[in-house]
Amino acid sequence: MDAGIVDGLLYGLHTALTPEILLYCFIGVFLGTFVGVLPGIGSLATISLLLPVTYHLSPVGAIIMLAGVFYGAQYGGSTAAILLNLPGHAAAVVACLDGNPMAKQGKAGIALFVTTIASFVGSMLGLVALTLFAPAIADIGLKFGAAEYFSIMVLGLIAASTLASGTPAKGLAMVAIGLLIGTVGTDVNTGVLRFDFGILELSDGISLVAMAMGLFGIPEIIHSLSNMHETKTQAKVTLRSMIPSRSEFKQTVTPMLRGSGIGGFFGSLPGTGPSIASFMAYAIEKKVAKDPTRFGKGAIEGVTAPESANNAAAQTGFVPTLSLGIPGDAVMALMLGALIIHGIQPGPMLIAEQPELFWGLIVSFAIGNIMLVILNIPLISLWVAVLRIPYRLLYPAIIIFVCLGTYSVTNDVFNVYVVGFVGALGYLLLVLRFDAAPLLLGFVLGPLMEENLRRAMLLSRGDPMVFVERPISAAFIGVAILILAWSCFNVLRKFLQRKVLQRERAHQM
Amino acid sequence: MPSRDLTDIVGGLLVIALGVFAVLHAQQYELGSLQRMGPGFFPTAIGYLLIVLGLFIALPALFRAGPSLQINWKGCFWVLLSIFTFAFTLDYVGLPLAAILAVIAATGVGGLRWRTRFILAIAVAVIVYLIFILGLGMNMPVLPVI
Repeated sequence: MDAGIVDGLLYGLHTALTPEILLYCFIGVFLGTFVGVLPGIGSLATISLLLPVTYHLSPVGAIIMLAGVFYGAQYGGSTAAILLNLPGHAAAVVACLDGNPMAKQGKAGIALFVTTIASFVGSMLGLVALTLFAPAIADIGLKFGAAEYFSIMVLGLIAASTLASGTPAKGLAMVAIGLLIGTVGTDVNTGVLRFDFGILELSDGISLVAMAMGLFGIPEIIHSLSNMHETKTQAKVTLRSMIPSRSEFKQTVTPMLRGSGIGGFFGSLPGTGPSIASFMAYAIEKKVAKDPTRFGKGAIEGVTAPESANNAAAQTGFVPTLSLGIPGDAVMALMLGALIIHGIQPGPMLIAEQPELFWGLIVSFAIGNIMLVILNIPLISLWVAVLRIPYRLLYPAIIIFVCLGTYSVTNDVFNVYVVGFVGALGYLLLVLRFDAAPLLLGFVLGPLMEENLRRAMLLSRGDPMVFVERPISAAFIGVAILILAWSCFNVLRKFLQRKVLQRERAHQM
Repeated sequence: MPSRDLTDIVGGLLVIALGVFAVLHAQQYELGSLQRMGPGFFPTAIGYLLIVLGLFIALPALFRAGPSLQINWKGCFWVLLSIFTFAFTLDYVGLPLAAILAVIAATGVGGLRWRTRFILAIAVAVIVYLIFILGLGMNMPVLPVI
């Protein structure tokens, strides 16, 4: 079933160039940029809010819109970071480091222009990688059995949990709790109702939207309320000259390419996404620079490389999701959820069975990115105006949106109650410095993992060694163990460093 | 800075508690065998895993300093009140009124005058009505049940 890339692209053009799909693409990228600009609400929250809306759309339209929100947010996140030193979301934090100093030097316009171009370049290169690699990986995925699926999910979860903030134990605990919450509901194999506490509405499990909003949206709002009364300096933006000088432009080309490569690589790995990609790109750019001391003071490379990286990562993040059906992070988990809701079975067969979905997506990603470049440059002043709305007026509306979004999943207020409870839990996690993203990942993967574990055990007649006897599975388990060992080693190292510091301090007294 | 890492101690203990709960509650479901796992197998296994992980989190925290717990109790209260108000009243008073009540609850955090709160509540109710009822055509009660 090798349709060839050109054939696929033509097919995708046919699918994507309908007015309906173009509209959804536009809504997605516009909302995405908007939400990326707004601090406190990110693409994750927005996508979960839009999930119920996409029920009424075709599967292709739904994913295109949600994806548009995702990579659109990568464009917008840096705007607030540059202008107000306020990142729109995690991946934009790096943009504050050199982008805000640039704004303070009066170069805000240049920074904004350059990040838009960098985002576009990163997205396009990431898209090329997605087009080339996803079908190839899907072919490998066809050889996967239940054991391989289980092992790669284990790998993905371990990677996601240990790379998350905080100690690996906390990340793994989050994953485990997510797996546990995923068991709530009817057990598919036996029909037994688990952890339902007699509540009828729980027989289908806890809604994904409620989990996502409760874990990320609500705690973010509560947390932002404590900082609300701090005055934010409104940077004056003169957008008269947005075009950088020729020498500045030359400085940006190689960082863009490097950033795209780094981002494209990290984005496709399970457990890593745009945020990690942008941090790595910044770190590498600093190491490679002729004069590293310029970084943090307005170095233009420090702004372009991470932007290319996070956009490339946003595109290649779809590789494991589309080719294997394994989400690489929480956002991809939501995308998978959306696919399942529309009755599409994710997995290696996806590309072969739903070519219009895959190729339509690819082409609309390209169209979406073009739309974004056109949108961002003139609309920068609009985003600046939006950022001026005081947060204290905005958050009640966000809360209502969250409530309505979750209500609309089943037209039942039960889900709104669930969001409240999960929101309280999510805030508790925030306070206790647990990262909620691995939890959501565990929640989405839990049922799949359990099913594959059961099937693998059934096929191997109860032999757990099957996971290391089969070569592909063994490879995944091996890498997972390596990652685990490396992070434990890191924890040990930090512990010893602290001990040495304490001893030195004691000596000095 | 407190001499023990309070956040991780509390966190670890909660994780252990959850693990214990999972193991105990899952006892009512059949465990099955390795080859044919019953509904209780996965949750029980995760429960034990959580207990172990919780120990890994809480024990080291006893020996190191950590940041103090910072909880925004006020924010938590008003935001959750807003959500539960909305959930409770929606079926009785319809969307616009529920939205108004919820916004007023949400702005209980402070910083806004009563007049602003009312205006904001009505504005949000109108916007939400336009987007969700008229724009997206969602089906939900709009008028109070008399």
